[in-house]
Amino acid sequence: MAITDEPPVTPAVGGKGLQAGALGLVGNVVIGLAAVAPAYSLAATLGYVVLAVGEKAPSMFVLAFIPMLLVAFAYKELSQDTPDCGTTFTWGVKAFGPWVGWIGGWGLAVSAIIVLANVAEIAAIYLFNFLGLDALAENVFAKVALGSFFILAMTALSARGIVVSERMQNVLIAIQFGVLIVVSIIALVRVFAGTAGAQAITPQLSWLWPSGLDLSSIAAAIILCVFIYWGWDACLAVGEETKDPGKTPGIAALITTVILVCTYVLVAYAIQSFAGFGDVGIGLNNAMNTDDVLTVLGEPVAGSLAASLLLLTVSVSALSSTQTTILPTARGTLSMAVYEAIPKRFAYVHPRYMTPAFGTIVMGLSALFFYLLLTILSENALADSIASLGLAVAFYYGITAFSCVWYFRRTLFESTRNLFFRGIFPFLGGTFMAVAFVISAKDMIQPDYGYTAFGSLGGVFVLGVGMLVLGIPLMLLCFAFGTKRFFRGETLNATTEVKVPDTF
Amino acid sequence: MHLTVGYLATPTGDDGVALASALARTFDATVDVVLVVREELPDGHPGRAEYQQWLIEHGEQWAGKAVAALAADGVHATATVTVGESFAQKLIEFAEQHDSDLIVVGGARDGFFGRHTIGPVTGALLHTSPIPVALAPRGYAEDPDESFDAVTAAVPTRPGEDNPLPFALTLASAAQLEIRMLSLVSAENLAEAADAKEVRDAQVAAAEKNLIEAARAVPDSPDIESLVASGMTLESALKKLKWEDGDLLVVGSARFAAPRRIFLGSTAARILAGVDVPVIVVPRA
Repeated sequence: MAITDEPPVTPAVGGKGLQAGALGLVGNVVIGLAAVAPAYSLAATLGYVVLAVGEKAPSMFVLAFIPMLLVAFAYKELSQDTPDCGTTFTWGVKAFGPWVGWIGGWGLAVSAIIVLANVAEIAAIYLFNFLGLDALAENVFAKVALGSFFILAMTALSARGIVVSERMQNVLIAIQFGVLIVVSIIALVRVFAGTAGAQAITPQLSWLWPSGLDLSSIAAAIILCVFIYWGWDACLAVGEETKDPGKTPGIAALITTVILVCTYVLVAYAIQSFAGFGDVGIGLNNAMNTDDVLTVLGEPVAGSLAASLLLLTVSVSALSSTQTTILPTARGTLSMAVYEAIPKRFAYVHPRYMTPAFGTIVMGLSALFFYLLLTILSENALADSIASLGLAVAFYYGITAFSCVWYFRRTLFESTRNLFFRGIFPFLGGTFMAVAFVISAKDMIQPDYGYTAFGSLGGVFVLGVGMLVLGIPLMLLCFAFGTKRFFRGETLNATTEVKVPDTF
Repeated sequence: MHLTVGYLATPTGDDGVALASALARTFDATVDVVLVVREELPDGHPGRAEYQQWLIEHGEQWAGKAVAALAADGVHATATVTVGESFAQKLIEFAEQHDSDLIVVGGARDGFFGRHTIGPVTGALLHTSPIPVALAPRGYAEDPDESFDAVTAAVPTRPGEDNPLPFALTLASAAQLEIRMLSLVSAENLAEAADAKEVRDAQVAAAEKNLIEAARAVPDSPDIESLVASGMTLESALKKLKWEDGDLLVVGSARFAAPRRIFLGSTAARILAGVDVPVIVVPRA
């Protein structure tokens, strides 16, 4: 048979095409809450917040929400204008040019890598505790072995495109909040009933007011709390997916705010009242408890069943939070590769699983490497990773916020709404983040900050700022060995139309 | 005749395309290549629609490769890319919409035993499809048939089970192919037989019954070869068969399949595991 010379046939695109089912209010709320991973975040940071600001921890939870809210407004405006997977990278490039945008994208990747290491550690510890293998939870080799296994497993699952279904997400969120709230209420009830024990103290309203704290402590606490609210912008950033993009994201944001802030404050109150601030037993000033104050809320409060439930909830929360971290970040690096900011290999899509498999695996291996490095170098890997994570997140949130202001600078005075939501609020949020970042970084240089020191430098400073600074030589390498088109502004600049298909 | 080919840019997909090519050339069929792209669900990060679009563009590139491979063999094909959660479901939908005669797919590549391995997509197809499914054995793309010369129908020895013979006869007459009936007799379904002679007698009786059956079905059919393979087990019976290039096997569905749907019964599954040629599974009448 003759081979016919035919022009390439354009395949027809059928079926649902581009529009996944639109989110309703509940879906929007669940996405916002799931992205924050509340049980895991609390477990990781609560002890350290208390360490930084003592009994004023509830005030910090309220205070830290404000810059997150302001930055989330920037996310909303930017994602409405340019709904690109590259998020901070794309918006940074469009506002400030290729170099700043690249570093912003790097900040994103760094935070994903650090959080994976932290998730592995927490999930391992809490799983061992849940199984009653407390000795193994203290054993470095066992922890690292299980933690490494978790990193590899989560990476492999993400590379294969296996995701938690929406129904499962709903269940996980309900369980997380259910357990946290119920156990906290039991604790408070026992405190007021007087059956909490001698160490319990009466909760004070003054705990909600951040008086008597110095700037360094506030900055340190805010950096930690950034992690607790990290991901909340999901409520506003996915407006395009919602059934009623005008109203639903706003209402969902309101609902999630109330749920999150109230739950965190409630848990903080419950723990502080129940455990007190003694330095023995379950007292919060007992150095042995800082790592896992949340479990204080388990056994002593409500017995071993509640304790087990809490441990399991935290472990599962940690592992499921990787879902909202790994694949989205891999899509971000895919976006960077499409714009030729990083090697084209990162744009590889697996023909069967249809995920950005190369980017996912690189991220998983980097996280594994960072985790092992952290374990070797750090006195307290958990604490150091959380603090450096807060730095990285504050860094790229700051870039996002300022990108919003600068990118929309010509439209700021077109309406009051623009002035506030594109200008003033993001500017305040970005400033907040920048100030917290600078003050904390300055403090972290001191070798007696945190738990680890590298000679005369604080360990957290080296890890946190070091990881961010590592982006500069990498960026120069990409510039030297790449096509240079990106760095000349040819592939992406302020006027590039991000290809958004007409679906709505 | 119309073929719907399920395709992904993997070796499995290439196997399916090679089989579609051979079938299209034998039966002068039109071919539609269908590639199903993974559905991306909202997860709290912006840019999902854009990313979905990128995936669809990748899908179009991949489907284009299949079309090019078919064109190189002289088969004209069109490609369609859809978004969906279930590959099998989308394939069946497409095939029904276009009144396909056959769904063609390659098998999984990571089985240990035999050249036909049933992966998740094939499994779903082989238990729900209302349209016959053609399966390519592993590695078929490396050594494909140019076209088919003979059709073999695996005829059940027990009455009441679904008979693929009518479908096989239709295929054979469509392209003037030789046709052969195959009866697989193993000691498993001769529980009552006391000794070897009885077994052999039962086998001969089975073969003769099949020939009469076929003659009744198509009065002026060409010579139908009737073959009986026997052994202690089904697998040892299958091992005694000799397959040549250009052979095609047709098997029926289990008798408890839903009407007009495929349900791969245990016997058919074992046959699949024991042969190296492309297999067509036919729905229950």
